[in-house]
Amino acid sequence: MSAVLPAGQAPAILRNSRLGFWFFAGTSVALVAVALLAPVLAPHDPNAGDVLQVLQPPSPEHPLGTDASGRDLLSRLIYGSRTALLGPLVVVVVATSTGTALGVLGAWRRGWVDSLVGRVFDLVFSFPSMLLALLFVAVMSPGLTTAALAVSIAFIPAIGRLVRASALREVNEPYVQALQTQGFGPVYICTRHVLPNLWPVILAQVTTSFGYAMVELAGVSFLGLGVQEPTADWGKMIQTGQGSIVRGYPQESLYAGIVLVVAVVCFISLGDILTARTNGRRG
Amino acid sequence: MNPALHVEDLRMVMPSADGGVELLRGVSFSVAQGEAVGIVGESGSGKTLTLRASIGLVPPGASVSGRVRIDGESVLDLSGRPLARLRRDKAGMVFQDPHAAINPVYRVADFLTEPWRRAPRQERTAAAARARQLLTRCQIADPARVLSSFPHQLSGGMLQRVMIAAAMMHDPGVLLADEPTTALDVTTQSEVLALMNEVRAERGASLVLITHDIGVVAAICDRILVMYRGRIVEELTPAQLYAGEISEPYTEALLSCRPDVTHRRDRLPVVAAGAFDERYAD
Amino acid sequence: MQTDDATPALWVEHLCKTFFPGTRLRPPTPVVAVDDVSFELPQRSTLAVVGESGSGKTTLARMLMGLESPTSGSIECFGAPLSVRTARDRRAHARSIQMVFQNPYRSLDPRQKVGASIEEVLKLHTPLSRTERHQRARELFRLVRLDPRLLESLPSNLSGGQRQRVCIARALACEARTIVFDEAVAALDVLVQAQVLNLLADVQAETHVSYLFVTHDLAVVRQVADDLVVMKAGRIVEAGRVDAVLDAPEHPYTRRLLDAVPRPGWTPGVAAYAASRG
Repeated sequence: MSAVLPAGQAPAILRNSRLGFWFFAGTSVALVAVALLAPVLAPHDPNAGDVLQVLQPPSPEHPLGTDASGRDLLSRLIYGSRTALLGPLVVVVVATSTGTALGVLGAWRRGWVDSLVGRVFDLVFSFPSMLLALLFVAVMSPGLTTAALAVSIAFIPAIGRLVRASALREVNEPYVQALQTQGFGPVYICTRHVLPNLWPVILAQVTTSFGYAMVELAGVSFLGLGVQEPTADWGKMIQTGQGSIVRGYPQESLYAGIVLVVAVVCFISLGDILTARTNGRRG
Repeated sequence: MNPALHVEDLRMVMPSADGGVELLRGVSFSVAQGEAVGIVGESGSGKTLTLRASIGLVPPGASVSGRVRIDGESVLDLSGRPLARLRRDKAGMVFQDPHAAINPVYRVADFLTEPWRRAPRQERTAAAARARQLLTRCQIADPARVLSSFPHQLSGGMLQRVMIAAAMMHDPGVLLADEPTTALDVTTQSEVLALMNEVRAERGASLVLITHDIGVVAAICDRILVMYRGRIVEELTPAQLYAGEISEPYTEALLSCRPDVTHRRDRLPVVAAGAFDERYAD
Repeated sequence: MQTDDATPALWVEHLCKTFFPGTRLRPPTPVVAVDDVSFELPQRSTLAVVGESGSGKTTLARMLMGLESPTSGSIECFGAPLSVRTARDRRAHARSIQMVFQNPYRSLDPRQKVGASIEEVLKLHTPLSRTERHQRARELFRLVRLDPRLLESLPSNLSGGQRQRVCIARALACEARTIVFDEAVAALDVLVQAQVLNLLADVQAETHVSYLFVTHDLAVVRQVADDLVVMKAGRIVEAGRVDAVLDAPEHPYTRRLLDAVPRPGWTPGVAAYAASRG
């Protein structure tokens, strides 16, 4: 998976303890809350720019200052959380459902079906998500939807392979054979018995993928292929803030970058902890 | 003369949210040089834990107390290199599943001579020759082929013979075997048991054999230790066992509830689960 | 289906199974797992299939359950040929023959309460209502001597012996007339195994079910079986009544198997058969 920012690895004390779990879970929940409550929390309209207030330092009226178009940075950061979380959500939902379905199908059927699924995974996996995004943008218009779709497809193989590997193990367990001899159909067995046993693995992967998807989408937006002006988005803000850095005002890019890193580290670390727990619990 | 293995008041507790689970409750026994001792018990009896603790393999998180001495050297005090040396030179271990105990990416020859990788050339050649010798001694007809094979190319019985050879490479004073034949076919089991007995008798080594099958220990061991829930409840010889000179009801149950290949019984004598807990509670 | 007492519960004739491992790129080397096996399991009796690893006994059991399809030969249950081509056939087959597997620790869905496992099977095969299914599950638990309160437990809270009883209860749920035990007591502790063997005898007396016991343990065979077949490398090398075969084995392989059974005076590795029985 290509990443614009390096995958966050929080200090060990945070990763390996209950404290760590609650810290990351809490921060993640807080981010979601901010996104949902944006209209209430943001002091200004994120798209309302005042040319007289361009690139202002922090003040009581603009706690984090303003950007090159005079828009309040704090409000833009708060509203930016919406696209920052919505995009990965779409990615995770699409990639997980498709990847799981394909992974379980391959594991159950084996033979040529499994080979085909594997080859499809390999093919998609060989495309950097940026390239897929470019491809999609060429066909459709740029925007969050296009970017999310492209990244979703890019993420399918990662989840699909993991699910397939776990499903292969489950499918060979005696209890699945016992169910088969009873005369239960394959769809019933997969949905009512195999999937629930895969669920912990999938959940852990979902959380980690959420974080990675956030990075990917921010990168796509940074390149101008994702979220378009004037919508507030952290990745986009890093890009538009570039011009201001040269003029001595790094705030926009800096704050957006910090918030992005914190969010990504939280979700990925949460996913890591959940993965470690499910691995520890199994067997 | 030091006993080959001496265990004194071995206790093991696994801490948990509600106090802690006592895994071993004061296990004490001694194995003389050249003696074969069998430890028999069901799951949860602590027999495997005892064997592993004898060479310092303690489950992570468990607290251990007591004394374990191999040929006079205390095991529980050691760690790192001295422990590794003790395990290599003084004790040979054979595990239940040979395929799980051996690294699948190395050939058998490399596995057997691994401890001599960094040794001078002379010693390496001597080790390789010894490996060949031991394989022949372990009833392997074609040692050259086996030496150049990978573990997955060999059957369970063949691989277990390799493991016995590996355990004997350093000429240890005591051979520790944890259910070495449980995963094998019954005809192979017979041969491997005989082999272990011969090989160690030849070298004067002692044998500690763990199994759930009391018939097996009675066949090749000089003494039988019966374990239940972390304690040794009885110690007797095979002769006493078959002569009915059994003092503990648990031992009696282990012996009599097995189906008998020579005749069918109306019902197998059976005891309820937990019937012995009161008797052997501490 | 009306059948008289003479119709065997299982009739297997010239059954063969050959596997063709390998990919399209490499020519496959066929592995003959089961080679011309024929036997009969009379109603209300127990037949033991004895063999070691590689004997083909597991493949045979899988074919009886419809998990593998035979290369050639026929299998009949109470006179009707085995068919698992459609889902409906498979369900019908499950009502006449069930299986208890070797590993009690992986034979039950770890996330499903054991009562639910049994009721699920009842729901598939019977028109019983929910309350009736629950009632039947309780009855089955009583039949296998399990406390009905355990119906609400997860498998991880039960011991190996208890789990195996749940599997036996599940096998009895649809009143199948044949149960195949694939090394079903091999992984159990000695005391627990004895209890389960006694239980199986009681169940058979009460319900007139037939058993096919796949095992390598001759002592178990002597205790539970009426007839036996000995398999080696896919073929049957000896067959007959248990007492006859075990008291006077004819085939050298059967003798080797008997020689390997520990008993008083037994020395491993020595072909003691002739000497000790002489």
